[in-house]
Amino acid sequence: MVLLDVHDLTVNFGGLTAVNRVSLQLNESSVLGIIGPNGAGKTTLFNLISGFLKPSMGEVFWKGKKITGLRSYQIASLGLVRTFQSNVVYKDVTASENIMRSQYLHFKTNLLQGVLNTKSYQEDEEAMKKRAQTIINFMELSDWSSTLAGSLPHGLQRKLGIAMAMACDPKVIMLDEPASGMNPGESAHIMHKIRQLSDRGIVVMLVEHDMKVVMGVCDRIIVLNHGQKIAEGSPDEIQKNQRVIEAYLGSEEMVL
Amino acid sequence: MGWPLKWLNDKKEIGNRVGIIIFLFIVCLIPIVLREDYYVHILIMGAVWTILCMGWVLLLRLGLFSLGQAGFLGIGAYSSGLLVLHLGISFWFAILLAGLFTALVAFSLGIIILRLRGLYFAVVSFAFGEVVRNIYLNWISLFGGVSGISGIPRPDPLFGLVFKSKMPYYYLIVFLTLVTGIVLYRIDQSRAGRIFRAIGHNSDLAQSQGMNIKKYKVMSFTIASFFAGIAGSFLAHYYTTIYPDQFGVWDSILVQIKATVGGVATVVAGPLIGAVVMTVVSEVLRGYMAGLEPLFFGVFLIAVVFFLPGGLESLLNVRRVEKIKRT
Repeated sequence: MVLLDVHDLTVNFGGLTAVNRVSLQLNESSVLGIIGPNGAGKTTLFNLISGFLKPSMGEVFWKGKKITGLRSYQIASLGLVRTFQSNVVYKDVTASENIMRSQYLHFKTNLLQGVLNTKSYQEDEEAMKKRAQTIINFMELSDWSSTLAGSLPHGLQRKLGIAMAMACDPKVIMLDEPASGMNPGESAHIMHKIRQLSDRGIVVMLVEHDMKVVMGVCDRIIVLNHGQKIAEGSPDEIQKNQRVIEAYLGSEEMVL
Repeated sequence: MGWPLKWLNDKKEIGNRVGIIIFLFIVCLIPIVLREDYYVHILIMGAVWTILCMGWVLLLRLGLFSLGQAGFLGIGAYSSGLLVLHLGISFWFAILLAGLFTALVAFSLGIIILRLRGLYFAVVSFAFGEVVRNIYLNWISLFGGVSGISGIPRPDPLFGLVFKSKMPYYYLIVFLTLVTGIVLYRIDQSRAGRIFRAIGHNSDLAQSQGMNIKKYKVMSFTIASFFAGIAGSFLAHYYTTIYPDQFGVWDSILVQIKATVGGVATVVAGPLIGAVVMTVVSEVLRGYMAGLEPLFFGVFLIAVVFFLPGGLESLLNVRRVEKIKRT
């Protein structure tokens, strides 16, 4: 079944077309990678799909229903959750409080019950704490659960960011450069976690510059250049694709 | 019936809770011991400021830096005064209506202006306070212009409290502050507070996790203004005369100064300490250098921000912090 269907998505910033007629389909149980040189429009594409930017043209369908024009929080509540490149965590609170906040969509009692501190609220709060603990354990962050998120090293902050996206219980998770700034050991660990996410039935869509990660975890890759989709296929196909090589390294005529 | 005992049975919190009860007991004894109307009046004003500051801190949780809270105080005061004067309804009914009306104004205004972030919101809330004040000044037939409204009736007697001296007013405002404090404290400490803080810390992230930012901003704005309206209603029937300059820009700025000086770590302790201390200090100063209080307040604010970033409230926590450090 097609979960996410993006149709001719376009956005103009003044005279610049940052994303130009990009179409893509996301099926259940897959890992889709989006790559491209700097400024190709990868993050802009994420912003368009997740509702942080309004497209100038084109449509996005979620399970056959049009979601273009919905607000970002509405899109998140459908189960389409994205992470950010920077500022991925709430820096001023502990890692576990970060997860607690991220479970917003799972709160079963309303705010008034919280203010009155009813029994069902307390039970719900306990359940949320347990759920948060499982997620922290899954991402192997339990040693840092009471550390302020802002004082965690970069790699751990990014991992916490993924854990927070997981806490939203997404059907599709959109990771914006999950391995950026990580050392080889850390990025190998992230690859392992992304595969585990995929095994759990979560569809992963990621933007990434680290080719080892992209080629290692993705079933399918889309290549963007100057806002346009120039190639789509399996990692092997992409590595041999002439247009992709040109986009990254330049064509022979240009070298002359 | 067992709940007061249960409340005291929480071993971790027992120290704080016994402390709160002793504090409330002292608060109730103060006017009996002081016996001086002037001192009681200062404390009454301190309590009114506390209500405003607590609401202001709640807004700060969402990153909303409001410079228009005195505007809402004024709306509460004028609406309550006019309701009682012209419709002849009881104060006890009017205070609630005034709170609800102020909340309604905040709700409608919030829907329009709460799309603004940071300084933009601060500037618009500042302008709002001025617009409201100018309406009182210029709509003379209804609001009485510069001289305002006078002859607002005092509250009807209730539970044996006859509002002829300062004392019953004191107990009424202590009660109102207590209710406001409990409600705002629970909001701040429960899930609502968690959501508010998430929005204040990183609104993009909060949004990506499904939180409807505008909804919670409007919600907190409405709640804070409801209590400001209640405080305003109290003020109208305490002074019995209200005029536009009581609810000016300087008062809105004072809310911010008092809360910051007190500290914003909790929604109750900091604002309470800041409001009462600064109100007392400003009264003392008035005796020595009338008209120069704003200068002093500025210096005091800067000093606190530099040397005591947690506010006066953090002085109380020194011992606790040291204990944590040692263990």
